[in-house]
Amino acid sequence: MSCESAPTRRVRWIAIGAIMLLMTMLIGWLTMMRSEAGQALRRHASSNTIYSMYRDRITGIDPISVGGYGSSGFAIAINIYEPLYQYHYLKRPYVLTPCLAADMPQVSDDGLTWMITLRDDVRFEDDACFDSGKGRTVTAADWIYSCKRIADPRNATAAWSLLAEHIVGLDDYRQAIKDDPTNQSLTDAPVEGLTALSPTQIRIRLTRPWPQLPMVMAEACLSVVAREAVEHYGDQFMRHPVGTGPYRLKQWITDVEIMLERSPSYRGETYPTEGEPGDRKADLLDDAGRKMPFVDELSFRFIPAAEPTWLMLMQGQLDMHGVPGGKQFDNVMTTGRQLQPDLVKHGLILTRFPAVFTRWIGFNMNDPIIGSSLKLRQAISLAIDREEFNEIFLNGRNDVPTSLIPPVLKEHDPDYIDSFTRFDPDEARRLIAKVEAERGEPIPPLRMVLGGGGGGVFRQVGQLITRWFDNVGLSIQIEYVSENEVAAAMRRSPASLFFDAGYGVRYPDVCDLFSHFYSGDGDNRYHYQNKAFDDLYRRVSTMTDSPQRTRLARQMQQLVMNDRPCVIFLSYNWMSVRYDWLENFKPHAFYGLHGMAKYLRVDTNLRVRRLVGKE
Amino acid sequence: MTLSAATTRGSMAMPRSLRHLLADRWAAVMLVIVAIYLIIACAAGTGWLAGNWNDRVGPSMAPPSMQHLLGTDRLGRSVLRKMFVGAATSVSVTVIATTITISVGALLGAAAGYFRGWVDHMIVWLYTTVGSVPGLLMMLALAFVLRDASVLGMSLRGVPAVSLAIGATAWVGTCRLIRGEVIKHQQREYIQAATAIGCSRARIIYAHILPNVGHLLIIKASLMSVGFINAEVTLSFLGLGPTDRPSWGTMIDEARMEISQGAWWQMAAAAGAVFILCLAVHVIGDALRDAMDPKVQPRQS
Amino acid sequence: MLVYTIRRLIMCVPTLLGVMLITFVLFRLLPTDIADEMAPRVREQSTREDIRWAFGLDKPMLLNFDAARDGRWTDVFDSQFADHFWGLITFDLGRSWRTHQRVSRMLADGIGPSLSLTIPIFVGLSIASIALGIFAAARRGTRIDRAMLLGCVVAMNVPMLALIVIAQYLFAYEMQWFPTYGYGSPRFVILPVLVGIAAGLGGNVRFYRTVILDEMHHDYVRTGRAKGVSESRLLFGHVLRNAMVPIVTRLVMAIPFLMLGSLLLERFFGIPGVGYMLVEAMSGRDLPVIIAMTYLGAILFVAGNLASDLCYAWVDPRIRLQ
Repeated sequence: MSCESAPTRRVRWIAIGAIMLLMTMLIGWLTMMRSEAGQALRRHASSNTIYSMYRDRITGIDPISVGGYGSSGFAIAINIYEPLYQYHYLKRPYVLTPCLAADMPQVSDDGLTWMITLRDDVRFEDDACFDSGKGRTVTAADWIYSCKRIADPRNATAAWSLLAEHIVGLDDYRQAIKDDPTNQSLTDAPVEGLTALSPTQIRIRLTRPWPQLPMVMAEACLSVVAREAVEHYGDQFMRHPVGTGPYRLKQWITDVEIMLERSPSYRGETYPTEGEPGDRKADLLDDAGRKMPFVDELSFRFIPAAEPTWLMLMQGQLDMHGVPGGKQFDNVMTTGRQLQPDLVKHGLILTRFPAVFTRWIGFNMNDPIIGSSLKLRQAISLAIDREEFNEIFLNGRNDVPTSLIPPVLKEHDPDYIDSFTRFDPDEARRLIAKVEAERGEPIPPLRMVLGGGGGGVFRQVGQLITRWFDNVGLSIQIEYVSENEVAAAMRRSPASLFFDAGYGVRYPDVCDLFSHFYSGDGDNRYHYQNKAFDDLYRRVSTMTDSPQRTRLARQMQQLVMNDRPCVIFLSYNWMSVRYDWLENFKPHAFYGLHGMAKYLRVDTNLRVRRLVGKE
Repeated sequence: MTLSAATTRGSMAMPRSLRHLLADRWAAVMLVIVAIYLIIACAAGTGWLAGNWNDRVGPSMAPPSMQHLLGTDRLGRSVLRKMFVGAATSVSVTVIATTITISVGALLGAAAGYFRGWVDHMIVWLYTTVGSVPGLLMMLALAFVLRDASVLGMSLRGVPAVSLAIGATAWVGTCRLIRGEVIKHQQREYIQAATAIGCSRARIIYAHILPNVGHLLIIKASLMSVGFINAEVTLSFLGLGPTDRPSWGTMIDEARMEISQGAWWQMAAAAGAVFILCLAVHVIGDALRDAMDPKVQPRQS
Repeated sequence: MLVYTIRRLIMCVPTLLGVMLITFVLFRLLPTDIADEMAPRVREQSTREDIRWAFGLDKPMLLNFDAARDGRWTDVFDSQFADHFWGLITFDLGRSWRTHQRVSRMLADGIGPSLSLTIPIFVGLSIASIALGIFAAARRGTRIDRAMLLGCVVAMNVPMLALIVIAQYLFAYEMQWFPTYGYGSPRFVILPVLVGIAAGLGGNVRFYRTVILDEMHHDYVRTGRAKGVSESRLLFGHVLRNAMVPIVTRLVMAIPFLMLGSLLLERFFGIPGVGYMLVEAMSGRDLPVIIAMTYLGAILFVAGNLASDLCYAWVDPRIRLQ
């Protein structure tokens, strides 16, 4: 191969030519992209649209399967579907106001019969599933139908656990379908406890008093759906939401973007006229009494990872970003608890607010070592450096809790300080020495089941926990399982401790929190049993709100803390970063991180100035 | 080819190929590198080196300095120590997986080629079936299942599960190769001659066929190891690997989140460690093949 | 040829049955409870039981003798084992535990994005590596060839993970030449495609170079050279034409796998394809999706094998007789 022949030379010229051509095309294409990007930015900034994101893949928007306020589907569903009651947008602590209902429910003296009046001006949005293509008026029968969908076992929804054993006849209805699943006519079988007295009158009969019912009726899963839509779309109903809310689905590109637009048939609620003392000063009452919604379109982009989300927020492609507590550990562009100054200059605002999410490390009270020794449990509580965890993984955004009842609940006692939530390894070592002296032998290695999967951050969390335990002379082995598997793993081979995704209050009632420690129906995860606590739980769960109930709830908290079936670990704050062109934004624990769009307003002029002016 | 020639060639293969290997300057350097990795892995595996990898040695995400040669990670741990422990994880997975692959593959392959008949049919069916599931998918599925499996009350989670998942996927190639070779050799004249002079079939396999395919196993093993190192990294990265100790895959996973905050050192350390080891094993494998496989043409000078 | 095709098709049947068995043994016997996945926080037992019921997971594992005793004898097959086989044979892949969607629907949604990533990689990679392979083979033994070979070996050993992370960080994050993450316009796939090509280039170039060099050792090349045929004419006229068989086989074999997407690339760049779906299914223990993917992968592999065998048989009549 020493001398080159003519064909080889020709091949070389062809190759060079081809490369030149490709380069020219690439440059041309890049230039084109650039000018197009500039126009797109102007369009983006000047449209009356809110741009936000969702993090978990959404495959369907069906109220019975979207989950709670932490889920992505929920954030979209609440703009389309509406339940009977909703939480007041501005008032804290959270109070209910009517949504589809005309006013608050009437309860009989025995607490068993509830009467609800519906508004008569609520219409489903126009959709092909209705006979004329026009949405019809919502009646009491629609709500009852939506309720029965949750009970229908063929729909396999976890939401059933909310209603089970509470409504007269609903459990029998469920069982009848399960016995004969192919019989479609059973869907229409009457349920004694759910009656439509008139098109706007619902009567609910309960098996036992249930003062939390209105809060349950504010859950997204109990939103009203149209029977015509469910039957018309069948399997694809989850892709064709037909609701009553301020927005309707405009476009859905799977795993890319979901666009909602203003629903023309929306009845038009008005912006709340009263709020908390500081709200007027924060310009939150400027729109008081005006007809909602204010924004034409909502865009939800699918961005499952944290880093690109931040990047897009910085570029102004997103108007806001909520930093969840719990499973995601977002790296927030902050120094301490403040945004970096250059971000503030670009118009970003950071809000931190207490979420309804607490993380505990659970003890297995059936475990021979842990369960039998209160001192050991106390020592572990002291061995944990909550601040270090908070700093390393959460940029210090959270608070170290000092009580079991989180601040978001009205039963929270700000004066209650649990002394074992401090970090005191010396005291922990002293306690452990005592335990070992009593046992007459060292404490054997403990096992912990850690939820969150073996990947990424949770593995580091586990290694940090190992370090804390080492520090006080305890040895611990950690088994990593997926977040949903903790309970199953504890059943298969019970460990001494478990660490799972934490606990979120479903609705602002202390009973939902205490049900985790109640041993009445079945078992709790801690295998915790305390008769005095159980008796109080049964009493408190049927009581309506009163100072006495608050007193009893605090008493229950003391009982749990005395026995310490869990280590109180962290109380999570949510953070929300948004641009100043987004108005009327007030963080709301029960509307998820991105809130409810009907209250929000966009100052498009400011957005154009900030985004395009910057170019 | 006569009987004596075949046997001497088989027995002479090792020393001659070793000489070849050492004569290749690059291969010799790579051999030293692999030896260093092995030493580090043994030292870290027994806890003598970097047994205290989980300790905090400095501030969170400190850049490389004289004090912390490769910097620290988010928990303030030494990246260097984690890298050493990662070497132990990687090397043990690779060694176990290779052992499984070679022994299972050779055993089944030889059995299939030797017995033929229904044994052959069964083994061929087994490896076609396992082999028809795309490798990475099969490995992921196995690792996913084995993670929660336990044998005699011992959880397989961690290194055993990963090694098994890799081994149980990769034996197919070895098995197919050995089966083919055994069948091929059985039809050779020297084997027919051996049969004619009354050698038992077991002796034929052991004394005549195995030495002639043994070098193939060594080449196969060294070339496969590269894939195994990478497989371990991928599985660990996806959260299916060992969780109680560092691995290069988990280091890359952790570094992915640190890198956007400017902390590149953990990524560089883990990726560099994988790269150098893979390169070394790869070069050695190639050199071995050149030295041992008579089918490969002598290299042009 | 027809007889051969039919024989080859029949040979696929035991393999696919074997794959069905493997997936059953691997996944159905796992102690995974659908109720944990769908209602992880729910302690209330009836909800959990009903979820199992709705997915047919309360049935006996292998054979349902209880049902057979009470009803018709065919009810003995009212079991998870029979459901599993019947589902795979009829391509009823069931419903995802996590998303409640039909798995077939999820696959249909995922294949588009996957192909938009894998086809450009495949085409780009094949063209680039065949061209470079020919280039190196034509200059075998020279300094350029040796440098390229060294480059190949080095490139082959760069961990894919690191390559992805570093490319994403440098070109998308720091320099912002490309979008970091997402899917929706062609812009989003450029970087992953480039990374995919870069990751596969080393191994592929080496493969094609070897294939061509192997062909060059044949007698006819030597004869041609002795006759005075020019080197380039020899390469492009004879060697390449003969080397086309292994090259085309390799390409044909690779085509079915394009549908499986690229696990790591899709995950890192947020391309909602089949590979990403699998990663998510793994982390969420979504068994129907994992089973479907495993089965589908096997079918594609068998199909690819079949196609390449038929190609061979078509080219070389001797194979048909074996």
